[in-house]
Amino acid sequence: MTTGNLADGRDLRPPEAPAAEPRAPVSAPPPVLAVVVTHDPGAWLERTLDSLADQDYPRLTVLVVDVGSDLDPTSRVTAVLPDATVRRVPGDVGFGAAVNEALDALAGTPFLLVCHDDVALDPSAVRLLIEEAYRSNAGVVGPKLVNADDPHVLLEVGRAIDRYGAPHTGIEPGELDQEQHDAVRDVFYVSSATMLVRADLFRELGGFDPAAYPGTEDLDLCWRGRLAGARVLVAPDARVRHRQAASERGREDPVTVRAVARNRVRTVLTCYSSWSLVRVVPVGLVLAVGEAGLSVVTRRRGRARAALGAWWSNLRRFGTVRRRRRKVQARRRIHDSELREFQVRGSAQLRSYLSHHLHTEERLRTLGEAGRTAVDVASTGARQPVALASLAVALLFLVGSRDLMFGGVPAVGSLARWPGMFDLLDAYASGWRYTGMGSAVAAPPAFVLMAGLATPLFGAVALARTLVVVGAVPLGAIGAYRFARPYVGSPTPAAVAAMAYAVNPVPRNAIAVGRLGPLVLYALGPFLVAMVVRAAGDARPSVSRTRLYLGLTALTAVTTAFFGPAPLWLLAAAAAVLVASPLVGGVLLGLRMVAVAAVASVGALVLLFPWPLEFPGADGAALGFAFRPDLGLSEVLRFQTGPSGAAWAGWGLLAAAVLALAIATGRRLAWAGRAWMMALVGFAAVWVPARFAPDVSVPAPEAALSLAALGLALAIGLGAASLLEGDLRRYRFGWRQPVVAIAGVGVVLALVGFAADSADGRWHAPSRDWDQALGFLRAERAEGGFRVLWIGDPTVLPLDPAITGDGVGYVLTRNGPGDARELYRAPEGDADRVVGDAVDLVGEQRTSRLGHLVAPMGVRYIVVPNRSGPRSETVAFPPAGVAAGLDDQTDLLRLGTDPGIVLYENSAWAPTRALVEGDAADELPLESPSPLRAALRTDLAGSEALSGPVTDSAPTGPGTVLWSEAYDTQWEARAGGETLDQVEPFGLTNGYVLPERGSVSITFQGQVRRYIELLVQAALWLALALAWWYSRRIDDRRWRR
Amino acid sequence: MVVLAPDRRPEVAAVTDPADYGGGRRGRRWVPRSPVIIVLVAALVAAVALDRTEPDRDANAAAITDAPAIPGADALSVSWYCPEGSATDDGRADETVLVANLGDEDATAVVSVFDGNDEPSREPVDVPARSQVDVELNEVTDQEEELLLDGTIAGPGVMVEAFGGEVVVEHAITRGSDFAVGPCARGAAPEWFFAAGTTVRGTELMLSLFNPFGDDAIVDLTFLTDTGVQTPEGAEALIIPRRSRVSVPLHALVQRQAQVATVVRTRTGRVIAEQSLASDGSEIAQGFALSLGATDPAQSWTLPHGSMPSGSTHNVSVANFTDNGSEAQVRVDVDDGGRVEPQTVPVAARSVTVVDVGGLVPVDATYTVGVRVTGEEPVVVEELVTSTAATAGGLALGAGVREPARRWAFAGAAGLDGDAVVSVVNRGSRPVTVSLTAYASDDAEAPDSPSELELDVGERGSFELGELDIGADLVLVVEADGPVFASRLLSAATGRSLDPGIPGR
Repeated sequence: MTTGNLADGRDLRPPEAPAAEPRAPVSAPPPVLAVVVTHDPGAWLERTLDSLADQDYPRLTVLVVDVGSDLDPTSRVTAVLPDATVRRVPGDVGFGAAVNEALDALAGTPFLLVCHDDVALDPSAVRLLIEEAYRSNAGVVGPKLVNADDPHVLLEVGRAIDRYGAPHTGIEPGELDQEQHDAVRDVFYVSSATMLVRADLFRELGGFDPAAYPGTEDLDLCWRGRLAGARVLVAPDARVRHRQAASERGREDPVTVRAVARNRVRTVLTCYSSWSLVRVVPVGLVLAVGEAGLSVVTRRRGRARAALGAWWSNLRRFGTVRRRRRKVQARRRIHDSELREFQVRGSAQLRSYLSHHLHTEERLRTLGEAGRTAVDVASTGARQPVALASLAVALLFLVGSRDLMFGGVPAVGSLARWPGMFDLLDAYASGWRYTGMGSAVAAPPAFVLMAGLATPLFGAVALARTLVVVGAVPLGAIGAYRFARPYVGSPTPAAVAAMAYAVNPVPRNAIAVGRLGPLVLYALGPFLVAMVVRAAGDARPSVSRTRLYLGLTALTAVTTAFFGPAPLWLLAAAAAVLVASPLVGGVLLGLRMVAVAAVASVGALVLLFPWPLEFPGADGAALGFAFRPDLGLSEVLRFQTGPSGAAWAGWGLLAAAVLALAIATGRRLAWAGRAWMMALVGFAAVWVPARFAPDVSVPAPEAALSLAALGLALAIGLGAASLLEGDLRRYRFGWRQPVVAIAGVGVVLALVGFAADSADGRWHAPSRDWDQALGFLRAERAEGGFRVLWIGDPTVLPLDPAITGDGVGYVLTRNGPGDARELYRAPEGDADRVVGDAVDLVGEQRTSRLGHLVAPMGVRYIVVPNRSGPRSETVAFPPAGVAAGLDDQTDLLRLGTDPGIVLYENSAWAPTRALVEGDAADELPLESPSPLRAALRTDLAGSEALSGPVTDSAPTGPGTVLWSEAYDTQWEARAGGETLDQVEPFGLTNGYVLPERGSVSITFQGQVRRYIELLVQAALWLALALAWWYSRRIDDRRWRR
Repeated sequence: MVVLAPDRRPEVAAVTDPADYGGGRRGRRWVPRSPVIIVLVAALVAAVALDRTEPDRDANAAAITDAPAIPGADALSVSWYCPEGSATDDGRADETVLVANLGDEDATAVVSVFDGNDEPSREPVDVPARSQVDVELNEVTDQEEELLLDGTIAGPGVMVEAFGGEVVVEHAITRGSDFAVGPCARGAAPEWFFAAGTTVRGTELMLSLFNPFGDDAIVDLTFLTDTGVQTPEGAEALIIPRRSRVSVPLHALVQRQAQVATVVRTRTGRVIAEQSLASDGSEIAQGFALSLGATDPAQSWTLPHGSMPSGSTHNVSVANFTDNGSEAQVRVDVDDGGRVEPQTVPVAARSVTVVDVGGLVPVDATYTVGVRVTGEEPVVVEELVTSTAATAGGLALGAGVREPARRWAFAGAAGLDGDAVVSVVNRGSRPVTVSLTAYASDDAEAPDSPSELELDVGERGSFELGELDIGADLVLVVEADGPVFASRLLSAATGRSLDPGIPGR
């Protein structure tokens, strides 16, 4: 590895040093070997050497190890320190390996002083370090590091780590040295910039771990020293100026960042005890995922890769890590708990991030911004409130979400309970959709995404669901920040835009009334619009246009998977820009945005193949057009689609958004006009149908209002930018100044509304849900499979309701209250329409035998909610005719249950898999053109449920087996090795003639087709990933050139 | 970079970056402010103006009520519930169920009598198109009424399930020599209101509560009387077992009250309520009357048939069941144009105000009574007519009618040997033409030329069935080309009955 030749051929070892390293008497200072490691040293090398030459410690020998420098530094070294030794090591072997070169020269030298080549030691530094080493019997002693250019600025006084190995100095950026840290104390480790190590310890530990380069050699050495029982101290009286030249050499490149992260994890994995690892590794993984996510949204993808790659890389090198770990643990003399006091709680990276960002102002000041104008000073003053307000909003959000985070998200509306990962995947791979009466159509890709979200959480689907719901607000805020950032010019107004988006009532109402799709749209919508704008050429993209298109298409596909009308939303956003163009210009931009949105939408639909093939001809409700909101203009403008947004607070955002129109100029004014047009389009999409076509069904209003929320947020950010940039200064006193005041009051009102909603800890979502209240229904399956028919206003129904012509919603669930597998209902088939017809008959009081009508469908319970959950604030009663009509049904028993719901049991029901025997079987109406008339006077109450698995029932028969899935010839039943004759009872469901007693196996024969579809879909996504990868490679090549 | 002319305030500002405009156009462009503001303000003003008007929601959505109504021809199955009545000959209230098919398609029906057994006694009947079938209860069951320990009476309740066709159901009750005919109910309701009633000496006021469903019902009764609100112990938490009918003798619970208005509130379950009044002539005219309760208070009521023969009384009861006081205007429109000043009467909270309409009109006058709430709270209106005349004496209870309709039906009056008058009132805004068609059970063909009336706005007209040579027992259908109110007065030597009819939708 190293050539190891002394530059001048001298033996470094002191001639008087005995082999046994006897301790030198105090009166005779022990010899110290200073090892300075250089690599293409800059001009500061001489300063380092000068400082060593100036030490008041008499027995200091200097060894300079040069690692792969292009130019031999020997002449520079000898010019300053003629007695110094230079050893040149070819190649970039790393810092640790370079220092280890001195191991053979340590004989008889009790102390090793490790130095970077960019430090300058105070003249007394070595002496003070040696004295402290003796005084405290320390194994490793470090000095106080200060800024090389400004020695009043502290860099570090020893270091701690968090449980996951991330370093923590405890020093705030720019913190002045006022001797506030000048106490000798134990620390977890000291920087290798300058550290004094006892030679015997260094030798016992085998020196630095070369594999810990770059980044964690010092941590690794000190940790191992600690485990071996050595003390690690910092002696602040010994002061060293540090230039931190590594960053100037480009050490922050992505490769180094990844390597540092990898080595940090490696050190954690090797130094912790096994028991500690059991606790540390899972949390560390979660933090890594969180850090990666945060890095992605803050456009630091390199860091994201580093965070995740660190763990993956060590997993791939498991054997190496394990061998190293054995060696380290073999020297262990203390328990991990003894090191706890030197570690910090929580995540040091998070602390560092917050510290870094909360002290932006100080850093800016150090960059010489003291000469601002008075307006600038005022603007600066506004930034601090923004930071505080952002922090307050974040805290309020956490407070407001506490019950959801710790108590779970109630299964309200489409926020249905998510079953296990494998249940979701099984539902996705199934060729038969078990929604409504069932149909042979493709399952929605959202199931895969749900399972995918749960995968890194070790299958904790409930946690994944909670993260989706609770995370929508912060994710949406980050998206709004990224969307606004190019147009507002600086981070502060972008933060204002993000805050305005976060405090908008839309997501709170979506949570309260249970709207998964609109919530996902709220979270991802800003990213989509931002990407469309960038792809349309208005803002400089951070990646190539090809990758931007691919990313946009993929993100649109993900959003569409959760919310079918998402492409329409995206097109509406683009169209708003086009519509605004006669007022503020940008016709070409608008046209390009519409084109990009259209292409992305088409691409997304292709990626979601074959699910979108069901869209043409589907009933509107299956596509999300299931609501007829009774909202006035005031409610729409205040975003009050649920409990949030009431009273004056709801007007705050509108008032604040006016500011941009009043004072912005130029590009900001143009975008303010576009932002307002987005808001108008969003408002109009809700209010116009409610006012002029109240009997027409539309998507959940929270979806369209997300667009309005985004437009207002951008407008507010633009107004803040104009204010901060001093645009107001250009105008005489007039109407604009009051507008500023009104906008300020508006922001405060919005924040007050947000704070008020946070009080209950669950954003007005009910504390319980019907899934809990009606959980007992699941136990009823013992008497045979059944369906539950939910009837009522679509606003309070669970899952995705179908609607009748009168706007009455209904949902069929199986064997209980249902779960997420019954979300994204398949389009209505003939059998489903029969259910709707039956509901219509009830609403129009044209039947008194609903129980008989729905008995062939296996409907055992009928649930009529007038709230979205027990004690929910979201109340919507079913039409009076339906409520009265249901009460008039002679075959329904009304059962007692929670207020807010009416529960009936159908006394005429038949199990979903049942046997009809004897005369009843002969009298079963078959292939009837009118299923309801056929069912009206047929009594199925005496039918017998088949027990055992569907594919192998308990022996039964003879008779007719009813299988109450929608009639489909792909359903096949076999008994005794023979295929049974299929009939169509009531012209609706499946029936099989069982001539003699036997076990019945019912299977669906269309599964192969589904598998082929899945392969095609996988191929499409693979092609997208390959295109992405290829495009990235091209980008990288361009970047290198 | 924003560039400003020194002498000009930036109503418009310059953009130097071509990307600023998004269109990639070269050169400097101005972004005008005023058009954006003007468009936004205009949009807001227009929206505010348009938002003030009510949206046009589907009118059909509000047409559903709990009141009985003629089912549509496309109805699959319809149930009718007839609470009051008994199944024995010469009993307390001998009942005959009248099933009429108004449509052009044959229908079937099942008359189920819930007589206390586990399974009701059932009688399937065919009801040919445009005909009527009578089912006497004692032909279906021989179950007698039974006095229970708590003083209530268990008896048969009737449910008629009709399959297909426009089938309407009424029931006729005879008690001794008197009779009453009234519509059966189409469904249960959480509350039932009765504005008129009396428990003076010699009267028997009976409330029949019918629960044909599979779950028990618990109800509370509250009475508004001369002496205030009464909630006797025996009237609280009354259990109406599933598939049964219970009659509560109100005269025993609320004794000797000239006015008794009753409200039935269900705690759980579902019931249908009907009230009957019998008098032995001690204080009011002898006779028997029947009244199906109202399911909701309302702002406006109409009593289409008013006549004041000698020896008669006509009292209109206006009951306010709410906790706040109200006020109502009672208007009597006499047919010959005689003027009667409208009376505005206070209706205190939870009280009944009785208006003696008979005292306001001349003897032998015919008229219409309208009641319109002028206060805050809705009311329930019902009339009690008594007559001590030698012919057509007796008493009758008539429920007020809330909504007009273009079509009204009367299922007949089986075995009635008397006369009938169908009164029709046009309370609309334009003249209407009204026709009356009668169907006989043994003649599926309608009369060749139905009788017609032309009614001006506010005018009342009558079809005297005797003069038209139409039997009082026939199925009657009133059709108009505009919304009207209709009711039927049946009169015989032994009594009289007021029947509000069954409206079509």
